[in-house]
Amino acid sequence: MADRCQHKATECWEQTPWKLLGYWLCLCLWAWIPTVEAKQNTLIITGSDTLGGVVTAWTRAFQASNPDVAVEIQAAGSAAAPTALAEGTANIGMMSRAMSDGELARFVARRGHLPTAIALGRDALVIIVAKDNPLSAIDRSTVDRIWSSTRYCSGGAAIDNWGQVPGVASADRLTRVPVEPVGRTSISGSYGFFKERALCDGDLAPHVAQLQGFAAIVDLVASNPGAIGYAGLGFVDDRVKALAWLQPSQPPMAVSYATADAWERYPLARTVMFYLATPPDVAPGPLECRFLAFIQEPQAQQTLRDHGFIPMANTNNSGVTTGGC
Amino acid sequence: MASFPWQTPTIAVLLPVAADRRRHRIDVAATLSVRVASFLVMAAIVGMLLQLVLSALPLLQSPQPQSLSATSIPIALSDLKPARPDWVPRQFDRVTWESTEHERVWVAVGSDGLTGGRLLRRDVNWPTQSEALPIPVMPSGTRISALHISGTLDWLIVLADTGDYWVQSLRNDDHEKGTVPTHVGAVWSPGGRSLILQQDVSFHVLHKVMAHGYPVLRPMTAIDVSNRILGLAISPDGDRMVLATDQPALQVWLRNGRKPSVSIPLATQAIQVGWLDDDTIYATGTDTPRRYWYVDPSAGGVSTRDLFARQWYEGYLESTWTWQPKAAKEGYQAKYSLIPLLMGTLISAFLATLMALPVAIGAAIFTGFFMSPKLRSRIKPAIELIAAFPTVVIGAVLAVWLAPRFDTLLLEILGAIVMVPTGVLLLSLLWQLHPVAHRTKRYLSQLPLLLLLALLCLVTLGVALGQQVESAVFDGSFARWLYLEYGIPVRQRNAVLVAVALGFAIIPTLFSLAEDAINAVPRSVAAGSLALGATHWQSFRDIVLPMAFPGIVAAIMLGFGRACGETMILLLLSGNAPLSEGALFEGVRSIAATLAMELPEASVASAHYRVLFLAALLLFAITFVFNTAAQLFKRRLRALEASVL
Repeated sequence: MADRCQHKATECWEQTPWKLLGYWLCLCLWAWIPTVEAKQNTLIITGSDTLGGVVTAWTRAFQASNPDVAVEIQAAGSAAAPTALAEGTANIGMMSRAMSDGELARFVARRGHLPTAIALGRDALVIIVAKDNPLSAIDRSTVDRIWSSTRYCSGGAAIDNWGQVPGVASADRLTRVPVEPVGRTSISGSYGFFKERALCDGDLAPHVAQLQGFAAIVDLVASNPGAIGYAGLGFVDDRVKALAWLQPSQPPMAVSYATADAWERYPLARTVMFYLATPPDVAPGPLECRFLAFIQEPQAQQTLRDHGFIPMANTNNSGVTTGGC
Repeated sequence: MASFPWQTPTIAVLLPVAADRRRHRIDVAATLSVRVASFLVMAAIVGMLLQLVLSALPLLQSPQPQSLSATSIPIALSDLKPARPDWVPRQFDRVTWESTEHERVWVAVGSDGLTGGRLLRRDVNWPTQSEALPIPVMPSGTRISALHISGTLDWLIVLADTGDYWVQSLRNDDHEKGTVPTHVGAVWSPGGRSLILQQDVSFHVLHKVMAHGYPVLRPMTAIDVSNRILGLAISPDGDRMVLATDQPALQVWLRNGRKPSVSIPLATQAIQVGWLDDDTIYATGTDTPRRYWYVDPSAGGVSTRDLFARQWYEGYLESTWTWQPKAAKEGYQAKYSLIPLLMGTLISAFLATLMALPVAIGAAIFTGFFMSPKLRSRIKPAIELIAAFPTVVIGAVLAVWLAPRFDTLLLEILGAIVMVPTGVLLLSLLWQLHPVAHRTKRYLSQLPLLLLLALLCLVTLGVALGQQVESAVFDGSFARWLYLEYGIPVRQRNAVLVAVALGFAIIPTLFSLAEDAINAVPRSVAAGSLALGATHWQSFRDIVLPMAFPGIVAAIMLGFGRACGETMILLLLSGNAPLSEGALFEGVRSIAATLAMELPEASVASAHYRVLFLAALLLFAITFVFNTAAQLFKRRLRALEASVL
């Protein structure tokens, strides 16, 4: 074709506009077809990165038995869920925390009713350090002095190096190593949860590194002797050490799946949720209902457990509700 | 093919008139479609810019309150969700409460003084009977103006209108007492970190800070309104407050504003004001019905002082430039200082350009002037191939491989950087001692290979040197030495690490443009100087470089502009720590990375959303300035060339 064009420019030139038009039409058609399909059977799930893994696994299994449904997952962070639900760009919002009053108010102002909340399970954040760190337990005031710039929990001085951390022996080689605190970015539900529970509603110090996922935090802490971070229990592996939680006049509380009953007293335990844009007393759409019914099956609940969450039925709270289906 | 005049009529005969007309039609259609397409592209660019400006602009305007008719009053959350939970006793009018997942505390002003209760969950169910709370001892007849329970349920603060306040620990018997100015009314901000004291014609803002292990109220600003204040309320998100004055008017203030952002004149005095939601205020007069106004939250939602000046935020010990948008919970004071973001963007782009400059420009000089055209045609595309690396790949590889080793590799890298140029200079001196007779053609053809080997040796030598210096001078660890001697911590995610990755990413841009500039200098000019007896280097330094210089500067500027806008590398490697000191070995947070992280969570048309767009506009302005400057330099280059030819 190209050769012909060089020799007989006229002939080629004649075809160009029609060809362009043809390409354009093809492009339009291609862009149009998926949107027509999308309107019918696509379930869009937006929100928490913490829940992203388990929901992806659920989706895979769900699509095996429901080939007619396409599921899209956008796991940016919990804060993306309320906005997406209010704007109608998601069917299900996944959140690693409950919606705040402000988020509820904005949703109500936009939709005129409350969203439906479904508790999925419990998750816990743990403070992690490098494997060879001498520390084995930490209390809230130390966490506050490391991460916070307001220090509402302790009122103490900021901690700059490991020598200032209570529990690190003065002879330890870590004493003159700077503490490197790590956390999540502000879109993450864990970020706000950590600020609220571990920093007593305080602010993060500006030098805290903000990373885009728990996996990145675990990687950084594992490779850096001076680092300290927090991660969802499901993300903690044997490259890092999870610290027990110290409370005044109580034994250190080690958090593990074996002691899930004790999570009720653990300050960094939380409930992960699904939100639907429909009012609580109205049945959601058929697609949402099929997905919600699917995740209550024993196998799906096992998947939830495999991803490091304690299913709601296993904890002391009431089980997963069907969300009015 | 040369055309001859006698050929023209032949063509005219060969092409039938109909085909000619058809060709003409197609020609017109094609020209039109190309024009339309280019117009669409320009319109899209202008449209995007307009969108940016329109999204950011309302931030700097003052809001236009709209009076709401009865039908347009929005549904408030309080209509659907009871404001007072069922575990708080009904019989009290003035009651405050706070709860966590397993503890609930309420405190109320009863007929016979302060009472309070605590509910502790042991298992599934909450107890019905509440335990008594420790209550501070106060003189009888104290009129309580405000109550506050800290979010952790550790402290109770009771404020009396005489200005005395009592801090009582809810865990033990610890208690403290302090004084603030006397006042008529007091309102806690929703997050419970600031207190607004309402006086006759002024109000005070106080911050709750932790000092010596217990909360203290610290007076921050006193603002004279110059009219009698009749009522005061803070919005649920804690960003703004509304005052009713005897002017009569309503004034809407930013939380840390120095003057009202808008004033709404009223016909009669309002005695009660409040917020329906974050955007809607209401006012009730003595005998007028309640009226509602919508006040756009983003219009004038941030002052320029918030964006660029140091601010003393609640709970902080000093005034700072802080970027920390509110997250998850309402009532946090939003902190939108653009200084840390600007600092992060500029410092990472500057360091990256500095990192890429010697490599890219050196390669450009060699490829553009000294290299044989045949080799050049292979080398140039190879270097430009770096641009095909997605930056996310560069970022991810360095995050996994270099970042964990950064503190140990620092001096090694530095050693190599120092060693290579000095070593090359030394080698070139040695080369001069080499007898000319030995420089046969076959020998010279292997020179690039030899050079490569020499380069490898030099890098190894530099790394070894770095190691030696580190163990001899810096006691085995440069990072530790830096911290112990100067208190400079070397973080795993830092500006220098970003500069390495970003520098690598902008090498092709810098190289390609600089090489073009050097190669564009006419060969005849250099050849002339060579013919007059100048050496290659002299010819380059005195003839080619001055002519290509504007082009090289343009390349550097475009590279810098490209580095400013880079997102993925910064997102992965910078640590996204909004520091404003410009430290080399600490994290940075750039505008582009902040946009990528926070735009999805910012609700449309909120102040946060508009501040992000303002930051985007600022980023655009930075790159625009640099790109325009580059274009101007390029134009100069063309003028220079034209004057020579």
